[in-house]
Order: sequence, then C-alpha cells, then structure tokens
Amino acid sequence: MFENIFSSSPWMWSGWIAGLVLLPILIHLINMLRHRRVRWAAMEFLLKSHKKHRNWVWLKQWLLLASRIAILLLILFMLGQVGCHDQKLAGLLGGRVSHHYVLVDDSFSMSDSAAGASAMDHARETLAFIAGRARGRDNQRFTVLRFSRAAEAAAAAPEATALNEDPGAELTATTHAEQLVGPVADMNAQLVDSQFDQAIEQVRGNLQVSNLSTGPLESLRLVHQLIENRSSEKPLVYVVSDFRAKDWAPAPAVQQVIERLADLDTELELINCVKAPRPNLAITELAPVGSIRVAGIPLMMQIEIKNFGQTIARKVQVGLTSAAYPAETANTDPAAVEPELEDLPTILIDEIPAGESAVRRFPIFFSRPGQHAVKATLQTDSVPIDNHCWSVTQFNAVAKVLLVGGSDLNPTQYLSLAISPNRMTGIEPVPGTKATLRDAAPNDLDQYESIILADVDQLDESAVSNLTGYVQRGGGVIFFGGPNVNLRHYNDVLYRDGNGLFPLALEKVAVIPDPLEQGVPDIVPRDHPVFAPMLGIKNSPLDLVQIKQVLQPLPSDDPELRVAATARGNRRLPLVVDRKFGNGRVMAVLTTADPQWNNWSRNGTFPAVLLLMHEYVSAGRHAQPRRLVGESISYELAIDQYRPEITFVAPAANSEGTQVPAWEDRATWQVTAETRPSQANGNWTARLGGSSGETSRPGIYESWLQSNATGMQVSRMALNVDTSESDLNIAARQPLIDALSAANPTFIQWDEFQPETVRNRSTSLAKLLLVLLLIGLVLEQLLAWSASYHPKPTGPGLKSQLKQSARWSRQQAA
Amino acid sequence: MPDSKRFLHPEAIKRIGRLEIRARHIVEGFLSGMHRSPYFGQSVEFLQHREYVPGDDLRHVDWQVWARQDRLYVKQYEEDTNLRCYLVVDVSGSMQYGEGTWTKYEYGCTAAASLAYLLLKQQDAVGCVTFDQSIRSKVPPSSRRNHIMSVVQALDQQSPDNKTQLLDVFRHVAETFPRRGMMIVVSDLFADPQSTIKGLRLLRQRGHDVMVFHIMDDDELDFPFNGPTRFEDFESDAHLNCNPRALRDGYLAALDEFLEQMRHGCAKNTVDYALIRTGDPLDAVLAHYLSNRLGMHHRN
Repeated sequence: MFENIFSSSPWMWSGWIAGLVLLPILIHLINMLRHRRVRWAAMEFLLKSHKKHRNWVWLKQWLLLASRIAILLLILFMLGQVGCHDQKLAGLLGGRVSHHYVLVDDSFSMSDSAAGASAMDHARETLAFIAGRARGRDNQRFTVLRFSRAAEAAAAAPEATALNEDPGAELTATTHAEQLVGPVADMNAQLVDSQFDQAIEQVRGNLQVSNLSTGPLESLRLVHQLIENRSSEKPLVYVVSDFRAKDWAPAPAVQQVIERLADLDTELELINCVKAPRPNLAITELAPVGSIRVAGIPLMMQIEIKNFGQTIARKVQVGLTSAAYPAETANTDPAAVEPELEDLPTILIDEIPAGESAVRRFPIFFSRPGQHAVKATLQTDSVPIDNHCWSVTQFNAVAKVLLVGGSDLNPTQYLSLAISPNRMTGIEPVPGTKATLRDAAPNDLDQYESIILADVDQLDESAVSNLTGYVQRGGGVIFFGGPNVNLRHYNDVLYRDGNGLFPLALEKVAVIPDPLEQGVPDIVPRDHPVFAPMLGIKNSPLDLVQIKQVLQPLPSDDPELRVAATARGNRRLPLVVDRKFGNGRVMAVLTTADPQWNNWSRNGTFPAVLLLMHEYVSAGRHAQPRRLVGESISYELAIDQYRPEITFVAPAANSEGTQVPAWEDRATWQVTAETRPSQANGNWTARLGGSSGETSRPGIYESWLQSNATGMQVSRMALNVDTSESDLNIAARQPLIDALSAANPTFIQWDEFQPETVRNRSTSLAKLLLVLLLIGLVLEQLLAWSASYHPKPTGPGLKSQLKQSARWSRQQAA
Repeated sequence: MPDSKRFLHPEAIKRIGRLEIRARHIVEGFLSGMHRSPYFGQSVEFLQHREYVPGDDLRHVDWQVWARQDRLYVKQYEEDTNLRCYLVVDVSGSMQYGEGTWTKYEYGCTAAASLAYLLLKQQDAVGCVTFDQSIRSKVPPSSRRNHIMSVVQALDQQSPDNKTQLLDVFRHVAETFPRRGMMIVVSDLFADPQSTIKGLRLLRQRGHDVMVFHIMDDDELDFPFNGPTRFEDFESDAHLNCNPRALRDGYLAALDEFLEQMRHGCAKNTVDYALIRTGDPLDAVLAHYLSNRLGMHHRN
C-alpha cells in the first residue's frame, strides 16, 4: 500500500514502526522507575488531589503518550516520503494522486530541425521540465506514451481503443487499455520517487523520431480510457507535439476525445515544439509506368516530388540508384545477398512552385529477370527521411499473352503477329484453345500477363470460372468479336445482367454503312489511355481503318462501362469498351481481329493499339499500392508447397544512427509460420512487423520462402514513409484553442513551459501528514502544558501575602 | 550550652528592637505605661499552686507543701501581672520539611526565639511550650533577662517527630497557663482544621490574645515539583508515586481550601493569623507583622 521505505522490506518498516511506538513507552517507564524520593509534610492534600484526579491524570498521561507516538510515526512517514498505491485510500486521506500523462509526438515531422536542434530535442527537454514539475510535489505518477506506440497498441487491439457508444464495450475497452498500455508505454504509472530521475533519463534517451506518420488520436483515446479506469487520480495530460495542420486542423475526432477528457476533469496542456513551418520537399511517388516488365526491355519509371513549403523550390536534384539483385538459388544465404548498385543520371528540376508537385519520368533497364529496386534521393532539407523513396519491380524473362481462338484460328494469327512483331516488345504470344481455359488449374492462368479471346463462340462453365477468377485476381482479358460469337451465350453466361465477365450485353451483328463522304474515319477514339497517343493527330493512320460490321450492344447504363472508341455513324455504336472487374479489367473490341469485318488488322495502328490494350488490361497485375512503413508483411502459403520457415531481411539501424538505412544495413529475422486454425490442412501463415516495430524503417524488405518445388523464392517489396507527414504547416493557434475550448487547454511553446500548472488544485499525502503533525505537536504541547508546572514570572510574594494577612486582620478588627 | 546564636540572628533582632509590641486587647500586666490591666491596683494575694517546672523561681516554691507531700509546687500570686507571652511551638514531624536554607522547624524556632528576646527586652514575661501530639516541653513565663536561655534551650533540644494534635495541646496549655496573656502559636497547623480552630477558640475563651504564625514552606505553597516523584509522609507510612505535574492543581486547590478554613476560623475567633513562607526573610516578616499590630493598637 505504501511506498519507499515501506516497500523495501516488511521487516524493516515493521521494525521502524514498532521501535517508534515502543520508544515513548520505554522512556515513560524508565522515567517512572527513576522517580525522585521526597519526604513530604502536606501529604493530606496530595492524597486528596490524587484521589480526586486519578482518572483524569491517567487519561492525560495516555493521551500524551499516544500523541508522542503519533508524532514520531508521522515524522517517519514524512521522512519516508510516503506515497499511496491505493488510489481510493489516497483519495479518502485527501492525498489524491496526480497522474501526469505525457504524450510525445514521434512522427517523423518531429525531426524538423532549426538552429541545430530538432523538434524532438525540444520534446525531450520539455519532458525533463514536466518531470521536474512532478518531482516537486508528492504523490505523483508519471506515464510517457509515444504517438507511434499508442497506434501500435490500437492496431494490435482495435476493439480496445475504439470509442464505442455501447457502455459495455466501453468497459471492456477500458480494461483492455490497462493491458495494452503496459508493453507500449515508455513509462507506465511510475511513482515519482527516488528512482524516478534515473527512469526519466532513460526514457528521454530512448525517445527517437520514428519513420511513421501518426497523429494524436490513438494516444488520446488510450489515455482517455486509462483515465476513466483510474478515476481516483487527478489527471494532467501533456501533448508534446509539433501540431501540424494535417493532424489538428480540423480534427473532429481529436476534438471529440479531448472533450471526453475534459468531462473527466483533466487538465490539458498542449506544448508546441516548433515555432514556424519550414520548407520541405518530399518524394511522393516512385513507380513504374508501363506494365511490360521484362528483363532486357527498358521500363519507364515515374517520380513525383512535392514542394510542401511556402516558397518556390529551385534547382531540385534527384539522385537515382538502381539495385540489380542476383538470382537466388537453393543455397543462397539471404543475409549475404548484395545488389549491384548503379547510379542513374540525376534528374534536375528547375523549380517547383509552393504546394505543387513535379513529375518526371526516367528509364530503367535490368538485364536479368528478378525483383530489382530503384532508390530516389533528394538533397537534405528540414525533414530528411521523406527525401528517400524506394521502389521494387518484378522483371520477368518474357511477358506471356494467351491467345485463344475459336474454330477459326485466323484471328489469333493476326493477333500473334500484332502483339509480338519482334523481340523488342518482350511479349511471348502463347496460342491456346477453349480447352486451355477449361482445363487450366486454378492459378495456371496467372502466368499470362493477359488473355485475348478472338471470335470465340462460347466457353465451358469451367473455362468461364477460370477466366473469371483470373480477372478478379488482377488479370486482363480482351475479347474480339466475330461471326462465330454466340450472342445468347455471351449475354447469358458471360454478361449475366452485368454480373459477369463480359462488359455489356450484345444485341445483334450490325453492318456499318458506307460513309456518305470520303475521309470520314470509321473509328472515333475517345479520351482513353489506349487511344491517347492517337488523339488530336491529323492524318492519323487510324483514320484509314474501315469497319464493315460490328457486334451491336444493347444500351447500357453501367457507370463502370467505359467506351474507348465508337464506330462511325450517328448511332455511335461502341466499338471498344472496357470495364473493371474485380482487381482486373476486361476490354471488348466489338469487331474482328482479322480482316473479316474490318481492315484494322492490316493497319499500322493495330499492333500499337493492341499493345496499349494489353498494357492497359494487365495493369491490375502490377498494381502496387504504396506500402508504408509500419505495415505488416504477411504471407499465407499452401502447406503442401512451402516449408513453414520464412526468412525476412529488413533494413536495420545503421552504425551512424541516421534515420535512413543504407543498402548494406540489414537485419534478418527467422519467422516460423503458423498453421491457421481455420484452415489446418490448407495454409501456413507468417507475419513480420505490425505492432512489433520490425517494419518501422523505410527501404527494401525481402521475404525468403522455401518452396518444396523450386527451392528458394524471394519476394521483395519497398516500404516508404507516409508523405502526408511531410506537410509541415502548423495548425493555427487560436482556431485550435477555440476548437478545444471545452477542455480549456493551455497552449504554449516549449520554451514557455512553467514549473507549475495554472490550475494546480491537487493535494498530497505529505501535506496531510504535515497538517497532522502540526496538530499532533500542538496537542502534545497543550497536554504537556496542562500536566506540568510553569512558575509565573512574578508570583505572589511577601507583599501580597502580608497584604492578605492585613486584610484578615482588618476583618478581625471589624 | 545551647547554641543561642542559632536562632537569634543579630540583624533580625536589631530591626525588631526599634519596634514596640502592643497588646491589641485587654491584657494582664502592669508594666509602667505600657500595658493596660483589667485589675485595679497591685495585689499580693495568693491565687493558686502550680507544679514546679524547671526555671521557676525557687523563691516561689511552697516549701510547706513540699514538706507535707514531698512535691514541689510554686505559689502564684495575682500581683504577677506583667505581659505574659506563651510561645507555643510545633515540633511535630511535619515541621521537618524544608528544601531551602531552613526547615519549617528551624524557621519557627527562630521566630519564637526572636520574639522571646524582644519581649524579655521590654520586661515582659515569656514562656514556651513545644508540642507534637502532646506537650514535649514547657518553660514557665519569666521576665528575667537570662530567661531567654531557658527558652532557647527548650526549642533547641527538640527533634521533630510524631503527629500534630493541636486540640489536646491547646487544652493542656489553657489549663497549664490559666492566666491570660499573649499566646503565640508557631505551627504548620497540619492537623484537623476543625479541631485546630476549636483549640484556638478554647484559648480565646480563656482570655488569651492569640497569634498564629502559620509556617509554610515555599514548596508547600507552590508545589513546583516535576518528574516522577515518590512522596513519603513525615508523620506516617503513607506514600504516593505520581507525576506531581498532574496533581498540582488538585493539591493547590486542597491547600487553598485548608488555608481558607484556617483564615476563616481565626478571623471568626479573633485570632491573629499570619501565613509565613520560609522563603521570606524572617526579620522583614516580624517587623512588618509587629508594625501592623502597633498600627491596629493605635486605631483601637
């Protein structure tokens, strides 16, 4: 219950108490034994007094003894700096514990440096100030929580931090909050005692800027639940942050949590560690543009640099480095793999206006298949971590395209020639039939970048299923029409009222009448990526294409349906359409791929348009959402294909202590996969990162899988920082205070921090002890005064005695 | 030889010598111009026989009685009417107490001797009785200058002991000294107050002019004791272990009640009462008291 000397050893503190209780009693008994012997004459009066006051004398003696024992114990408690663990007891005693919750923003914008000191340096200094404030009082507790750690805890147990309207769920969340905060807090409810200084110094040393972009919401929610659970304490919440506009203005969710904190009588102090926004550039995108990613074929990359500052950035240099990884073998040591680094030509951007972005493209070339990486680097500015960006691209030996024809193979031959006129395209056409689709295993079709069906009359059910699954997984399919197409089958099986694979319903075969005048193109392109290169070009070769017949579709109001080109005529019959399906995309060219209904296949634009269509529909297979640091890397592997051991190789802290790891700074984790309970016979699962912080650094992450069939398989991915954090604009002070007016927060700069809060209403157990001690001392003095003899400075001497005698004599005479 | 210097402090006697003691009421005696007498003219009539006590003038021994009964009696005549002062001094155990220079016994004896010297100097007769629970010694009154030695010897050879029993003593004194005179009682009066007052009333009824010098030690009046103390009674085996700080108020209250009783009883019986602290200078006390009595005589 009590701290300090009372928490050291029960024998020690019980010995102290027993000794201090016995000490006055022993002194009293010794004094009784050491009494003075006096031969006394006026014994009669003494005995009379003793008989009359015996009980009261005993009571006063005991009270005096008890008060002296109490005084000694109170002094012991005060010297021992007694605190109280039991909050309810402390509340009853009047010594309500003040709990300081310090929420430290460790998002990477806190690395914003000015005059040699970063915002995080100011945060560390502020933490020392707050600790000093707590150290000057009694009955203080201290909790330090970083934004990123609170977010990790929330990610680990989202149900615990979700502010739920259901009171029962709120209670559960509060209970979970106590369990969650323990592992993630830098300091959890630490009593401010003799060991506090050492602990707070250790916490200050551990405070580092993370690579994450984490707002205050999760930490405030977690603290709110903790305060609810610790209702007997006096909460003081300090938010030490850079108060970027993206997190604080406007922030209705944050405002809501702070209002709830105010309902719990929380004192809120907002401490800003940054005085003014500084210019900052960040690489917001680095990704390949095309979808034909074949070794030996150049690939265009696109890079976007955004100027988050308020002034024009001039002469921006972007350094580029490509990293070609060697092919892995069964005996390859994951930790020993070193990429071949090559510096690419630097990109120079003359200027980037304030708040705008600049996009540039550059080619990369890798001669070997595999997953290779590119890194872009800006020159150092206020926030260094967002000046680096990584990208990983899978390069195959060839890009396979499955060409499926119907009874007439002529169209596939035209398609094969068009899509792979030479090896420079990197595409390998693979002829197939309807049986190829029908008999394919579930994932067999994934080897093809795209699948083109030309004048296929109809498909078996299994073929439709395989094709549907392929597209839903990101594959691209291109349908070409023709006279053999079974319209009813397409409508019923492939279109299925908009739920199927085919993008629209077909009505009939329509004949395009001859034009009334010469020079009118039969193909009217629209604003679509496939026809984008041909838009606005005068005398385009596309104008020479003649369309005789098309598959006329039924009118459709599907908003997902996109028309890339229409046929000539007032009806503007759709000629080329596409629709997204699952993660993939389906295009339909409502005319033949061979010269039956048109002469397009003999036109020079046909191979180009076909390649663009291939690139367009297959883009879903290469869609790589920008993955951010802190995300987990997880795998679900077939139990009969992979061994359960996975080796993860991740960027590690480098020897120089900078935030940006170099290529050679890597760490290796061996992770044993676990069998998923729901699919005990199906898959392994393995996971890296998440709440463990293993994916907290930007860079290239490798996952080394052990396949039973092919040996080692490596999967690389790039994790980059969230550049929304790069916006260094600071929330305006007064609007922020107005928005949080319910909590009446104190908003100050870090260098304005005061040793005492404005509203320090807390009392402490030591003050109570001091008051009790003073009362005890006064009581003891009163008792001792009443039980002792104090001669008067001027007593009744001879004169007064004789005057008294004279008075009696006068009475006698009278 | 008794140590006469023990009680006759020259400085005290010198200061008292300038004063004249006056009887406040009717006293017997006819010392020229100094004392009023209830008798008319001088007389040589036989009054009574009294048993001989050492110090009596052998000229007054009735040899005829001695010849018949083999006992020494002295004849007392009515014409022996000088101021007779009887010093009744308490030598009980309680008078032993004294933490200062003097015990109450020493203080009381000094005061008695000083008064005896003064009275003898002005030709008055002085007698002395010491007592505790009974008469310890008697010195018959005499006005001879060397009678002081008898008084001092009677005072000096006593050692305080036993309890105090004032009623019986006063009754015995009243019977022993039937002739009216001045009766100076020097005692701490630690006896039953009612019987003490009764004894004083008896003396007054016999016509004595009674003065009470109530000798109290400073400690008895102030009770300045601190710390655990064991009090043992002088006159009995009673004892008390106590913290005197706690009992002080009760003690002083009981003492005040006792003193009030004594003052009231003395005033009621027209007995001069003087509370004397052993810490006060004896000469100053006697001078002040005797001056006061002189003043009262003039007012009468």
